[in-house]
Amino acid sequence: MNTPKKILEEAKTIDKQYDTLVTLNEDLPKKGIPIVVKDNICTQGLRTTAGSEILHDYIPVFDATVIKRLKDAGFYVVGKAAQDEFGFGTFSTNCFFKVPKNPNDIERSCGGSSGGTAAYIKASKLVNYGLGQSTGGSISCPAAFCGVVGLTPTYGLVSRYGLIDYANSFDKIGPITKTVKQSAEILNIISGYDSNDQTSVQRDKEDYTSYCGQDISKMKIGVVKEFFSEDIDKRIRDNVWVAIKKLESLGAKYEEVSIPLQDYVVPTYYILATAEASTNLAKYCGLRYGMSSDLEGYYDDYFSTVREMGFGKEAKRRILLGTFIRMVGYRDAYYIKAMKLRTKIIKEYKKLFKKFDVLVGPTMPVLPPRFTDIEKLSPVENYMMDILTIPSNLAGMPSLSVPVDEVDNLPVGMQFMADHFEEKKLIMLGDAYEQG
Amino acid sequence: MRSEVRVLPQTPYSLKMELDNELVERVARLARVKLKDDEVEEFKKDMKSILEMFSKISEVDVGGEGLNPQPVEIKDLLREDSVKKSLGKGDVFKNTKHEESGFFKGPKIK
Repeated sequence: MNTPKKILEEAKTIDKQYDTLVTLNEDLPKKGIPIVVKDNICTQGLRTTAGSEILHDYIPVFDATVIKRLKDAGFYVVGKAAQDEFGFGTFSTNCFFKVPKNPNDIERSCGGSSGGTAAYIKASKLVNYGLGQSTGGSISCPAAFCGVVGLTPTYGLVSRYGLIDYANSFDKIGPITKTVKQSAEILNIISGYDSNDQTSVQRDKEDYTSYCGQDISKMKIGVVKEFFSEDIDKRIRDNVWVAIKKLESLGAKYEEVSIPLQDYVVPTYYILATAEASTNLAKYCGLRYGMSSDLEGYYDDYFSTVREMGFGKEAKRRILLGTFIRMVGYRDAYYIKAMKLRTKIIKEYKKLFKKFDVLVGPTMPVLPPRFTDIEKLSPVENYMMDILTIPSNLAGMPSLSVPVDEVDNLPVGMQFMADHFEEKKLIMLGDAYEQG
Repeated sequence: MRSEVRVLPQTPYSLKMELDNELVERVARLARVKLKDDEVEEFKKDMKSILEMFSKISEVDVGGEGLNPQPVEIKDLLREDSVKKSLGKGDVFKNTKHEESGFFKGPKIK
């Protein structure tokens, strides 16, 4: 029996080694199932910062819907996991509080932006469940870098009430766990309509765990050529191909396919995501919650001063970019064009899903990088690292990252992507691979 | 130590624009973010390279494609217009230092 005392002791040890938690819940209930939660999901009475100084002392007075549902199902929150500020990052290095380290090698990144959650699940022997959140790949990326499972659900399947938002037309909450079945268990609890979230979709409930242990011999997999380009580390490509052959040996059929618009997904995503982020972050004005200052000067001065103090460099960069591309004279060339391109890209994927159950490729183009190498990357080089995780996020389609064979003792992730609300296909294949 | 991180190819610059210090400062004023002089220079450099990458989308003909605010179809749903329990004052003001007589106190407005 894992008592709260044991869970707390382990949490302190993990945190000391890997800097995974922004806030530890010292007041654990006597019984229940432990879960670690990304720090941008509101937890009543437990500090929630989204990794930002501007929310350094924010204590929510309510639980996010996903937290309420998990608590009702017998879960308790062990702590709030480190992340890039507001989710702005691929390596969990844009953090005000702590930069979490990869349990496989502490000189390397655990991925972002849900890095603290994935690192904790990898390091823990007692906690199997975590909650992450993805805008452009923030569940898959850390899952791949740490060697755990990350399930990003379809947009609208899981309520976002109580999520500190980054980009509303992209954000999704999803599980990060040790196994595919555990992700299915969490999805069973957190999915479903919520009247508090206007973008929540009304659908019949599914038992996602029932798709584990199923026959995959009728499944057709599209291996996307662009996901295996020369720009992707060859060792990663090779290991993912080995994994695809394993799925073939389990009965699945595969065929290579092409996605001509793949070259445009990164700019399309970053235009829309920064535009949305720049409007979302307008709410941090130093009055109702979050960082504040003495009420000196006029409104604009006060607002600008608090934001200068409270936002980190990447947050400022994205606010400036998003504001610029929405300005008169640039809006049509960037924002409106990207909106239309997103529609075209979604149609391209929808067409492929008439022929294939899932599309597959590596999750990340590189192995977990060293912090010393990350420092040398320019912002554009940083953004290009999301090239394989953006497609499903841009299209609002579900994806699943599962660990495959390691390279030099470092984890490698394989990512499946399916059509809207086809999580069952991801779970069938992911579980079959894991068990096979 | 040699970097293990492979830099992915960047895209060509096709959408012409002049991004100078004045424009960066104007954007910062609109965004209500104060910048120091060295930050203006740094963000100008960053934004130039990022906007070059963004401009790649000009290569694609999007013809008559629509503008969808969400990636999946979300149907508008109506709810009963009924009174629900809301937060008490204690909770509403719990996270602010600027409460006075049951109101949020803000800075002066010009």
